[in-house]
Amino acid sequence: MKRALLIAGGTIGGLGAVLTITPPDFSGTTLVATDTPAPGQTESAVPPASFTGSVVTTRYGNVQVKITVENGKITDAQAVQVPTGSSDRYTQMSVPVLRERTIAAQSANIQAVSGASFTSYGWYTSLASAIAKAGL
Amino acid sequence: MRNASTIKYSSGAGVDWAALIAGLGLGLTVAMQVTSMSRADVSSVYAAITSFSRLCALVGTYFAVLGIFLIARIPFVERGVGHDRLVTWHRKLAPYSLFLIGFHVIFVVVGYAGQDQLPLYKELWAVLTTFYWMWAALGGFVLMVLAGVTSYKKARAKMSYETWWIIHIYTYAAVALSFMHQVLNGSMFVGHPLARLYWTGLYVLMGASVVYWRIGLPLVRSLHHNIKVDRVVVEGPGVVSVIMRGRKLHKLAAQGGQFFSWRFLEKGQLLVAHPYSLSAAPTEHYMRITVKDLGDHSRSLALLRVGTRVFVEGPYGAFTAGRASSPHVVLVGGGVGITPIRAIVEEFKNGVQMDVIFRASKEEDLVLREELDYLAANSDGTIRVHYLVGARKNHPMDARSLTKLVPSFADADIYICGPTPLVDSVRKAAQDVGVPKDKFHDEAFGYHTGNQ
Repeated sequence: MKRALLIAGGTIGGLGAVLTITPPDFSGTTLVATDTPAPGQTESAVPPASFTGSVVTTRYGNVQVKITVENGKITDAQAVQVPTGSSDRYTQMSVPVLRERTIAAQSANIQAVSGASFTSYGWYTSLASAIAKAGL
Repeated sequence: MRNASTIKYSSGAGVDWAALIAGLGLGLTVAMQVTSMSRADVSSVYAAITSFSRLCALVGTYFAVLGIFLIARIPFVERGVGHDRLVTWHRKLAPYSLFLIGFHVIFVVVGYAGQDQLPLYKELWAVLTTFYWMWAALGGFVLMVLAGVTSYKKARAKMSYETWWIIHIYTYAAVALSFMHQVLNGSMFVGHPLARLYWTGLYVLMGASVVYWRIGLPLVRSLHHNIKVDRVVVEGPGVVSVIMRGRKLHKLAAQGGQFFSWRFLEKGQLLVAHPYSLSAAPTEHYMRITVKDLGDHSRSLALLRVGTRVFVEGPYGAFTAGRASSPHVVLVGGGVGITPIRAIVEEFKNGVQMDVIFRASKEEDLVLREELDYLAANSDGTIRVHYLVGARKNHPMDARSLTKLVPSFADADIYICGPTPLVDSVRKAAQDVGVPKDKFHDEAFGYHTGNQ
């Protein structure tokens, strides 16, 4: 009995602690970043600047990538637009991976995520145009 | 007899901590799913089903991991809970794990099929071919189902312990095979390094516990103590004792009442270890088990050759003298269940009054009788032995007859090992006279040799 209470207490405590720190966000899709106007579109500046690539239409929908550049390095890559609906799960899975690969590669020359080949294709095409805009 | 002060008794506090940590782990596991949910998870019925399937998978896998921890032979847990109870918990938890993982497989395909508007068989193929490590995960699931089916009571009764055991061991492979598909595809892991860290840590801890406590420690101990068969003695019809010799056996810190898993390194017996209770308190050089002819394995023990090397895992079990809180104990042995009783008698410190009740259907089943009589005769009256021989109806083991036999039955700590009906009726008798639960100690392993 005492141990059952300990187990239940631990479960509630652990769950509660995590959810207090990072509650789930049901307000909007977490994948699509809010677009802020990019300050300079011709050359990179010392303060972080973001560059939005062109819209690429794929079989499942549009893909548009926005990169953040700091001191001539890509520090972040976000999806402004990604396919939604029936292929949502592929996107859910692929965007964080594509983001990691982009930051690691520092170029549009990255490997596609299997199961998300259309999103991947859209991603690096849009990414390439964003990199061109940033003048990297 | 060993000095009682060298025996370590579990206070139970460690087990309380373990329970709290197990609960905390479950909370974190559920939290991983909940915290990574977004609007996409509630955008349609099928998305919600998919999301639910992930929760099933996480909790089911957590239960599988917990089930492995339960039987990982972690010493303080073994001492605090008792191996038989751990196995019972393991057995109760496992079906939940299997069903939850089964739900995951069904719901994930149904949910995705609904979202992609594909027929189920096409979606199943798509899921298997588009995500990472899916064939490994499928293999793991099949192995897990096999272990589940063969553990089902009716199937289990039809196969040998050895077959069941080998299939069961593959569950380790099943849990390992499913790991990669979880952390590479799971929406709670992709892009969530902390969740990945927690989950990987859990698996590493599990693997390390198994390798250290179930494999490494027994192997090192068996080699170090150099245990070999010394003599095989036939004690009665179908009952044999195996006496083993080793060096510095007292360092194993085993007590009478506990058991080891024994593996005799002889052709045909290598693969499987069997649990048998010690039938005498161990000494510096000798250990003994006494086994009744119950299965293929126990029959072949009579043919063991002198000098056969023995690998042991243990000692296990909470059937120990240290758990008694009264100055008077009643020890009940049914048939060959007398063996841990015979061993534990030597462990009670001077002054503890012992009533040994030996229940058997035939006179010839009173194994180790001479030893009990010898111990009683040299005990200055602290040990009394009562033999109850004959049909069950002549010896009802209820509150009235037990109190008549042992007047202070209600105030004693009760230790019992024997067939389930005997254990159940004595348990009921103890409840009837108000013996608290923590003063009733039973050991299923000493009796159900090999048949866990």
